[in-house]
Amino acid sequence: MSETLDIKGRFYPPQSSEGCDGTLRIRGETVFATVFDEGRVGLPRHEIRIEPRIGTMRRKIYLPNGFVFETENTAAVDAIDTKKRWKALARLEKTGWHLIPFAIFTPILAVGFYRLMIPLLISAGLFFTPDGLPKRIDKASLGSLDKIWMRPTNVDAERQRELTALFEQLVAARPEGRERRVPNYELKFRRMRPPTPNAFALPGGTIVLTDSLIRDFGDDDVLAGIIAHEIAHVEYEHSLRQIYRALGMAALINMIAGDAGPMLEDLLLEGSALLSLSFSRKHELQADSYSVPLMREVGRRPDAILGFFETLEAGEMVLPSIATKRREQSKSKIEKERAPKSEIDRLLYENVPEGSDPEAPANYEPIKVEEDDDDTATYGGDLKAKKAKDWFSSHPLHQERIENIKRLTRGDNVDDNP
Amino acid sequence: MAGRDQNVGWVGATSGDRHPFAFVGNAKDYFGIWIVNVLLSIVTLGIYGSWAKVRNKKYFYGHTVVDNHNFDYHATGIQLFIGKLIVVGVLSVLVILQLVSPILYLIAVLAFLFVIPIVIARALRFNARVSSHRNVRFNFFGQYGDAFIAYILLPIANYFTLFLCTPFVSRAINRYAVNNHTYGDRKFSFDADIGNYYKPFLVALFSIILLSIVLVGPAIGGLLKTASGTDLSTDETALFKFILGFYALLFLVIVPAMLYYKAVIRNVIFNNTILDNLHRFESTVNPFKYLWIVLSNTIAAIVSIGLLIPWGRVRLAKYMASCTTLLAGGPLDGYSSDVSDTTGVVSSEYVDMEGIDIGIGI
Repeated sequence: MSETLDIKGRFYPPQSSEGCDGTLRIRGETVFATVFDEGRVGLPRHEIRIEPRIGTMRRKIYLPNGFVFETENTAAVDAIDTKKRWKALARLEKTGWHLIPFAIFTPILAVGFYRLMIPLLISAGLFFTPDGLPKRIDKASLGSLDKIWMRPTNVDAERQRELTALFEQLVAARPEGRERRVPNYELKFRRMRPPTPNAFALPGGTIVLTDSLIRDFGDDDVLAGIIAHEIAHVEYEHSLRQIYRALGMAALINMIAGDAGPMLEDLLLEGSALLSLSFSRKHELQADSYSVPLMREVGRRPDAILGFFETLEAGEMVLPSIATKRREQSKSKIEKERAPKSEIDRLLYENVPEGSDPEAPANYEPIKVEEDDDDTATYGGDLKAKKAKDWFSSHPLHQERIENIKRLTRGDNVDDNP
Repeated sequence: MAGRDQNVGWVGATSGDRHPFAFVGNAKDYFGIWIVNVLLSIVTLGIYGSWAKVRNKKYFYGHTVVDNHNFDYHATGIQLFIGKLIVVGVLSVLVILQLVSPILYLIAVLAFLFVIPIVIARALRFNARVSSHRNVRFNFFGQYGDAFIAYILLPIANYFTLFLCTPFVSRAINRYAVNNHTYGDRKFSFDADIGNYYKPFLVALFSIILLSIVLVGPAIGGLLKTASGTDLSTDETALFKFILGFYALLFLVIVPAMLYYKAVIRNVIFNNTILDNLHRFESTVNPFKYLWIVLSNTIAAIVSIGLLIPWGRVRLAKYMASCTTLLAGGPLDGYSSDVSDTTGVVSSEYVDMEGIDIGIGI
């Protein structure tokens, strides 16, 4: 009990840098501070505060009279330290063989955490989103867009009525019960400046078609396909998911690599921006898959949307002048492609996997849309292999989308040609 | 320049002692601390992150030594955690406002501009008061008005000059940060001729311009060429080239140029700072060596899936410390804190803001 332990070190008076060498003697429940040439003070042991160990840093012991004792003898301080939690932490941190499994499992855990937590954060975000919020986001975004990029439509009232009827037919035909929140669907017509064929969905159910889109794609089947695709974005709450994902990623990077150091931190943030592009590519595929049965439901050609893909990608370009130029080109190209031996037909009817007979009635597969939010969800194994550059595109390569729709509509094509 | 030298000329005469800084930690010891930090942060869903930050800072402060005494960091995990909660709360409100009402958001952002200087001043004060050397705490007395000028007003004005006044902004920030710091009850003072700032700024600027043309020119040219052509099947390649060019520009040109500027300015700050009208500092960071260390650390971190991050951090700390010297103009042990109490110094109301770097990294 009355074992004596002497620790050599240096005493500092309160708030002063003028230290004096001395010894701290611990005997039983008393601590004696001995400053050379200046005598000795006895202090109750339970009133001293010992700083937790970190690396080989000098240890500080705070004495109740305001003095600070500093020593290089960290081992001796460990011996008198009674704070179990800090000691356990220091033991974990100490170099040793146990760090090898740590080093192996931490990266695995980090990846697992990313794969697990991001979907979890998104689900939590969706769960806690107040029911009125998406509609308010719609109003706010549409208000800003109307001020900056969009003007009132020039589409005549008759055409608007036709398209609204088509829209309502699609909304009514959509499968029920997917969402906790029932979106309040609305179709809006707008003229975009500069004119761009585009369609987009806001989280609360507002779907916007631009004048150029309606002009360039007069075919109702194509427009219905596009609307069905946008309805899917609303049904799956894709925009909210992307918002929550961006927030979650920022928090995660900050957490795991908060002090990663100059440059690496920038690199990580940019990398996560690239990953979100692939995330939204996945949403596009998911929306395409959703549109197919919906189109069948209303008796329209599910593969009509194929004609729109190339223009859609052009419209997504960042540089408006180039986008417009490309639109002109793609327009003429799509017209050419409507001819029987077009690129799309080739993809649709010739590129059938080996071993399957294109003439035989395809076994109809119920559409299974994957709901998980990890980036590795695939839509058919043959699409799994992706080129590196695919990651940079927010809309999947049209070939990938064409093949996806082709896969889902194979049965229809056979039915159409008895 | 001449006037300043005249004022402090006598310092050199009395000083004789050079006290080099040294970082005495090593990658082996730090690895354990770092991996435990990451592991516990993940397992506790990020809550441990605040405590991890304290361990981290304590390790680097505690192993940075000058005149045979180390620095120390005294913040507690709970203080940082509460600060983090406040920051996250405020940012969440801003994000929601942005979604719901653009007008309210705009008002909030404008209001935020006036709040930021308070936060910066408080964060600097917090960080100073939890840092010590040789049992004496640092302190910070910066006022709101000066912070508003340095961190808000001048940067906004800088926009309108196409960023050509960046050196003036840097100097204002450095002046605010250094001149308001004290070690115990003694003041730091700093001033430097604007030429010290413009030289590295112009070097960085011209490097960006020149290297952009050489490196990214072909990629942009390729994009324009494709756009005017007729073959749409190559569009993906053009987009790919464009994005690749953008990242090449960012990480091979812009980020290195900014790091170069930062390294040179670090020297300027130390070489023109005086403590207590007595002690001076010397910093001899070679910006190219600094760049090399940062770049190779980044590559090492990527190749090792992050496991070499601690090695890189220790390597950088060792280099930075080895480039720093205290030129003592008198005895170093006659200082006392005016920060009265060792534990109750900081209340949790102080906000620790991420990313506020006063540029005097030790």
